[in-house]
Amino acid sequence: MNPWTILKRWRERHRLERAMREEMQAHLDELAARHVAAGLPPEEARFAAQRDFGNVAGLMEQTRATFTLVWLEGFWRDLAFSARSLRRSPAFSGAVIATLALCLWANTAVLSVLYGLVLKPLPFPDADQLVNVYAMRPKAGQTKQQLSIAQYLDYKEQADLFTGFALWNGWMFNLGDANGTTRHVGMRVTADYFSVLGVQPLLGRFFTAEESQPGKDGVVVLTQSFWERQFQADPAIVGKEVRLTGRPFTVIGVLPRNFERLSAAPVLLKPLDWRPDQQNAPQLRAYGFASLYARIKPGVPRETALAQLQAIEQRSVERLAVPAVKEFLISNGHRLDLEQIREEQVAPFKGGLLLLQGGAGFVLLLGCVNVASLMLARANVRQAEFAIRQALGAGRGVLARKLFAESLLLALAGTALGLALAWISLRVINTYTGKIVYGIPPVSLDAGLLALTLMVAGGVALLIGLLPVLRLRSLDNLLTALQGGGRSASRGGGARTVSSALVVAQISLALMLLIGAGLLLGSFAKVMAIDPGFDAAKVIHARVAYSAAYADVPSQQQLQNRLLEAMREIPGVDHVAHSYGLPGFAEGKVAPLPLRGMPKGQDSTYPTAFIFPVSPEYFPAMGIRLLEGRLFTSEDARPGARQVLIVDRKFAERYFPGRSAVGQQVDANSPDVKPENAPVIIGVVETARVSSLEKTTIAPYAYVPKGALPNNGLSLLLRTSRSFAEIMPQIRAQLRKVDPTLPIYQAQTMQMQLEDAAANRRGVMWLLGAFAGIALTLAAVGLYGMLAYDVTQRTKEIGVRGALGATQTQIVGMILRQGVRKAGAGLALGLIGAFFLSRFLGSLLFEVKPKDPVIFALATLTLLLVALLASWLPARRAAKVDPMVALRCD
Amino acid sequence: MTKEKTDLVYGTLDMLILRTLQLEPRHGLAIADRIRQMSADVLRVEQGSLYPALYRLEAQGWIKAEEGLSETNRKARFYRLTAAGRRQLTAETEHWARLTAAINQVLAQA
Repeated sequence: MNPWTILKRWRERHRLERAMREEMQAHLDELAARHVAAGLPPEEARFAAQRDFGNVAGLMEQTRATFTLVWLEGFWRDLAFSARSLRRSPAFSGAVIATLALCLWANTAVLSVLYGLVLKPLPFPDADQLVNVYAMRPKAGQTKQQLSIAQYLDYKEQADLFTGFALWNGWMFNLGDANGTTRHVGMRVTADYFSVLGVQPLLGRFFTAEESQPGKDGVVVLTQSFWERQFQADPAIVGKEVRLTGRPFTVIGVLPRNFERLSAAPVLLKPLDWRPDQQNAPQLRAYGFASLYARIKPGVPRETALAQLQAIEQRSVERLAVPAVKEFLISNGHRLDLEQIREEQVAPFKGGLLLLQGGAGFVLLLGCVNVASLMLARANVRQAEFAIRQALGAGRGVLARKLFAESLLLALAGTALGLALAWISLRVINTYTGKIVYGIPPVSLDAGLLALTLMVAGGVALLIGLLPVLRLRSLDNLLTALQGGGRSASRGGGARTVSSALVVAQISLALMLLIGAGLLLGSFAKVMAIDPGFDAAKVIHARVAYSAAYADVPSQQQLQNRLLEAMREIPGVDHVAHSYGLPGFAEGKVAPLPLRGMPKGQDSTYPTAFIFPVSPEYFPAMGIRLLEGRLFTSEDARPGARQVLIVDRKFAERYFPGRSAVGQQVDANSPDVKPENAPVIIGVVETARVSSLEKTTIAPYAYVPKGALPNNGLSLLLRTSRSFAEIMPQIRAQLRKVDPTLPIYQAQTMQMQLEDAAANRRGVMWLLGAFAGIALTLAAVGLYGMLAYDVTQRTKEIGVRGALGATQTQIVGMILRQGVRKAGAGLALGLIGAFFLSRFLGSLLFEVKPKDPVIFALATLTLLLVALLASWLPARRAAKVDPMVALRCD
Repeated sequence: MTKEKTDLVYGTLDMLILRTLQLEPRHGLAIADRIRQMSADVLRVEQGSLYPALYRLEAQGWIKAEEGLSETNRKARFYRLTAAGRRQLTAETEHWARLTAAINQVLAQA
């Protein structure tokens, strides 16, 4: 019979049932009529007819099998029955569902993030051949440095182990619409960017090489999201004009959605344009301004490809016309390196995620153990019920089906709950990841991972359903089970050993997680206790972007002054300052600062610093203390004044150990600056950890007065005791008064920036802490469950002991000892495990040793207390066993 | 009291039912009567056991049920042999003939 017929007959089952009944009844009637005709009285004739016909009910059941799905309908009935019986024992079902949900939540959430951020390949063809090329100058403390046009053109022409190179950098613009002017992030890319990645336009076309010439670059390609959001997915967008920061651009194409998996930050792309004189400017080799992506030819090892680039770079550096630049590069060990293009983005997460995945795996193990023992305990209690069912003729298959229906329901409920939790936490996690790495694409529940989760859940259902079935098979002597009413069926010694081994394993796993979480918590506390060196909580930063109306320096300065005045009018604002950029932004871009008269050290490197232009009020506004010398005055910012610098404590201690930095002079680059006019250090201030509390590799700061520097906007810094939410609307209102077309962005308190910088640490700590909490609970429940079960099994024995004179204290002691022995073994194993595993936490710890004895001891003590509590409850119950009742009950 | 009923060889009931329907459609009781009549009362089918077989054959598409009126003017389901059923009957008859011939041969030589 083909499935189609089966289904057709199943749909007609009601009609067939009626036909069958009528037909059989007619048959019986006719047989009876014949017997009546043969002379039997009607009553007897009916019996005779039934004898001829056979067992009517049984035959009907057999007939029905041809048009019903007996097994499935039976399973459906089992499901309904199980649902009812699970509802009747809410504590049991709640415990199982909650355990499964927590385990699946932990694993799905972490695995989704791990996959989405780290493991999932980029959506480009042969993505493993795509690399990011960067320069490093280790002796100058410069790790990842960007490259320049000259290098891009060099490699493009000479490096034949690559199929292509593409240069790109970030680019911000203002876009006005009905809701006012907004600042957006875009990208500038060379024409070959798209071919290197291997993307095709969704609409229109991409850039041509000619469009990299200044003046011809007025074209943009939109991302699909921005096209939909800002232009309502206008199908005729190609060819339309948009004004970005006042300049007209023509939309020539739309990118496909998968491009946004590379970065969610840019909303549109314009050509990277350069003037011919930029091509060969030698100093650009030392100050790159763009990232270089390259595609290695298939089959070429990365080292070989890198060696070729390195050789090309070396030749170019040796031919450099400006000796100062050449010397700087060579003396600082200038060289190139390659990495996967996602590597830098995902690096902050990788360690934490792998750690969390390990933790989630532990939790899953613990949970499965608990669920299995819960199911076993339940099956044990129901032995009598199953024995009766078997005695009444239920086959093993039918009983197994019933048990499977139960575990399936539990697993489904647990999975649904777990996935819902995972979905919610992914939304939270996405807000975190966006703070940790700018533009990282959000993570979603991947279809493949979802399928994997469902498969795992199905497997778990089968497994936990199977355990009681296996017990069912061992239930050979029906009679014993029936007589014992389920109580006398004792657990074999083997089963007891297995379950106590599981409890020991649980406790050791929980201890390892607890120690891990403790080490992270300790590190977090250490980080939070660091003095930032400024008043982070009181400083609000807001960046204002200039519009096209402020193209020259005088108009920018005029706007600066008007803005400062307008902001000072806000009540409760004590100081207003401005700086070149958001403090802490791009502080990896350090510059050499040659000091006059400084003896060249043995490694003959220049001092380097992050040079940060600020207005004179910057220090009081930020709350940065002056340690020595003086602060800037408005006189210092005047054009033509002698150049002055203020350095931070880090700079002073690094380059002038044991003497004063004030009065030291910087070597000017050009020979016509007289020594008395050379830039001079006038003050030393406290080191301000503006970008992150814990980063120790940040270069020292050198502040310069913010004079007539052209820029795309300015950063306002307001010092106030009022809250951010209160002040922000007033800042916006004042800005509108000055110029309503200017957008405001990056508005935040400096405290928020510091917290965002610690978001990764905080996130990993919270998640691992949650896992440790779950593990602790599961281990406690496991230990409690084992002892409680043991006490029920030994009721009679305990009764005998009581009758023979054991005191309550002795009985409590006996059960407690049993629990503590298990806990002790688990703790010992856990300590050994933690001792070997904690070094994997190394990179996530801060000023806490991986084997910190205090944290080890505290975690062990916590778990020991929990274990004592978990053993004390069943022990108390054992002590309350009444010898008379216990002995009488069988 | 000795039973004269001879149990059917497993699986042969289907073949017998198909055979009774070879000439004309019949309803359940008529099929039972016909089997008893053809076997001269030797093969006695527990009459009710026809029905599981009939519904199974119908599900297999070898017979088809149609509404009709019985000799006593009652509404009844008449089973008709389908083309597939005819092919099945031929196949089963041949198979049965080969099988019995073989068994007879064994019995004759033993």
